[in-house]
Amino acid sequence: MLRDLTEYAVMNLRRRSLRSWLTILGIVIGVLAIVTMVSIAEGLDLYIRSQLSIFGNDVISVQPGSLKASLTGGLYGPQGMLTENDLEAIKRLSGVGIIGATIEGRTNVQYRDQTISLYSIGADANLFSDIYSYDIGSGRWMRENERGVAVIGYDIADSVFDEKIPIGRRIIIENKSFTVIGIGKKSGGGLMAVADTVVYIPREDARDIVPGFQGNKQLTEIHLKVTEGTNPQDVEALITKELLRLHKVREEKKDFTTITAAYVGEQVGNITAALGLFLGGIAAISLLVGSIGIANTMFMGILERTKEIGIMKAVGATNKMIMQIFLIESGIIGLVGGVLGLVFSYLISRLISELGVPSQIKPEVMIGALAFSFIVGVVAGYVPAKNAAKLDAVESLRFE
Amino acid sequence: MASDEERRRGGRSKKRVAHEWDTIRLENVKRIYPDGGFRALDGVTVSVKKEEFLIIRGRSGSGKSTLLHIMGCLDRPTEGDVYINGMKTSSLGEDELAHVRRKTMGFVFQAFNLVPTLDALRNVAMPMMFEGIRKAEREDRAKDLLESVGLGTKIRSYPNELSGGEKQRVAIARALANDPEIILADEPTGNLDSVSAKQVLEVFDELHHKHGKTVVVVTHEEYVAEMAERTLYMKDGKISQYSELKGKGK
Repeated sequence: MLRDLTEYAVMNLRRRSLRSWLTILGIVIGVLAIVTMVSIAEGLDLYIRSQLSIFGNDVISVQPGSLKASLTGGLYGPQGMLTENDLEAIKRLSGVGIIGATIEGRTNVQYRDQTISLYSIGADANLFSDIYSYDIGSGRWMRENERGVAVIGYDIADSVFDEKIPIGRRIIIENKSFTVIGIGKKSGGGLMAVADTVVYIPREDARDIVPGFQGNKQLTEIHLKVTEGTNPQDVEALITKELLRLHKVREEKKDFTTITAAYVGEQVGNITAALGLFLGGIAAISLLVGSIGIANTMFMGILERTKEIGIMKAVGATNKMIMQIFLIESGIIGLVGGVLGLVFSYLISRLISELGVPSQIKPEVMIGALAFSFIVGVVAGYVPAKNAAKLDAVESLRFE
Repeated sequence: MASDEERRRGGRSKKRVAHEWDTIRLENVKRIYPDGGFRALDGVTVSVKKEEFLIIRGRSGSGKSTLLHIMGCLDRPTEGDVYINGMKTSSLGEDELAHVRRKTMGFVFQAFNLVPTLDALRNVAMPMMFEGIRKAEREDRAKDLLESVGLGTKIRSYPNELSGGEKQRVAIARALANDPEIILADEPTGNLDSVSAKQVLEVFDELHHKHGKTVVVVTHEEYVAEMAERTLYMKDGKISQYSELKGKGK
């Protein structure tokens, strides 16, 4: 029976093909907008996560100031600073493995006669070899206790200065001479592109030259790996407790931030989910307009087919059967709109990916969009279908 | 006060119940329209026997179409009871009434009432679709029915490609789709020329005599009455007169 009613519904849609297609177009645009927006948010999420994959699951980063609020879009929390004392204290904690720190800041870098302000990171030698993996394009990474050496980002070596800087040349940072021993691999864009324009030097050298760090014990960041088999969350809790004690602040006045992979993942997820919800919400308005189009088409169709409804009742169709016919019609409009919307979404998703905007259509989004468009169709057609089913048979037969 | 038919049959000495030989029975049926309180039927009691050919005549507005609609369970009485084959239908729900119509009734209308976007075959097959008959089976049967009314070559024709007489024959074929016991026709020749009207009436006559259908026809046409066993005259929502053709019938 349902198969026959579906066949009958399809036939009815075909006979009003222009109107059916125009109604379907409304749903296509709605689904297209939603899926595209959600796919951009999903793609962005995937992209950010892939870029942050350098941040391993067993790594904890400690930064000064309360960053948590800023990442979630709020205000900065209490400012603070990290010191060598913090580093030494954390080193002693249980579960802390390899540990390193940085001193960072903007510095004047001179090569031949040209001086440019660049960001310098003074790092412990193990930081970018044992904790994070820095891709060296040519040369090598600095060794422990090595001084007066620099690893420069790809762009610095290639294009920042008028002349290219090869391995072995000397550069002057804040009046101190450094030998270039390594050049970073081209990052390929994205979040890590910043590494292409950074100068890496030993932390001890940075202490002498980076403005604001001379003559004190201040550090920019502390990074560590937890020992194997240790839960990063447990170590994070220990660090927090220790730093709160050292800084003499309470939890709610915390002046530092500990960042783990889980924390980053959560923050990225929050941001991209909010973005997806926002973009999807805007796009949902177009689907709502599309559903109003379905309801309008169904109301019009029922008005035109009043006599036909009377005939169907006279030959024995129940109210339920008549309702089913119209619900199937509106559901098909929604479903076809959903399928076509998905096809166009896929094409647009590929196009915008080509243009460099990350985009990804997940299978669950596809299934969800199809189910949603069908439901939108059925819901939009419900009231018209119910009205059709309730029509009086005799009155309908008299309708001209 | 005795009803029209009871008066004719000699009064209401006993309370009459729906007998099994009454295919259709209406008891004191009133149909009052809510808008303006127009009484289309005003206390009608009538029985239609199995395999009877009944004609309902009367002027426009006399209530004959309303009577037919109530007999066919298309409309409900405001008061009174309707029995189809002894079953009280006036208290049934919408879907149960649809079931009765589908199984027991076949309608033929003055305006043909074919679905314009369906060809003859699909129009005829429609009642079978609602009966749940498989597509191949219902198309075979629809083809046979169209052949039986002389339209075997027009099964793929759409209503706008058919003459008035042909449309009405398609409507008759549709009325027979589920092999109903009762055929109800409302002015079936009203829109036809005399030749087509004659052909259509011959089909009704054949349905009655050869196939044993109970036929109720609402008509203005006087000559149609000659085909029936009984003619019932309506006036102001009441049965005003009966006439019975002696020797007619089966």
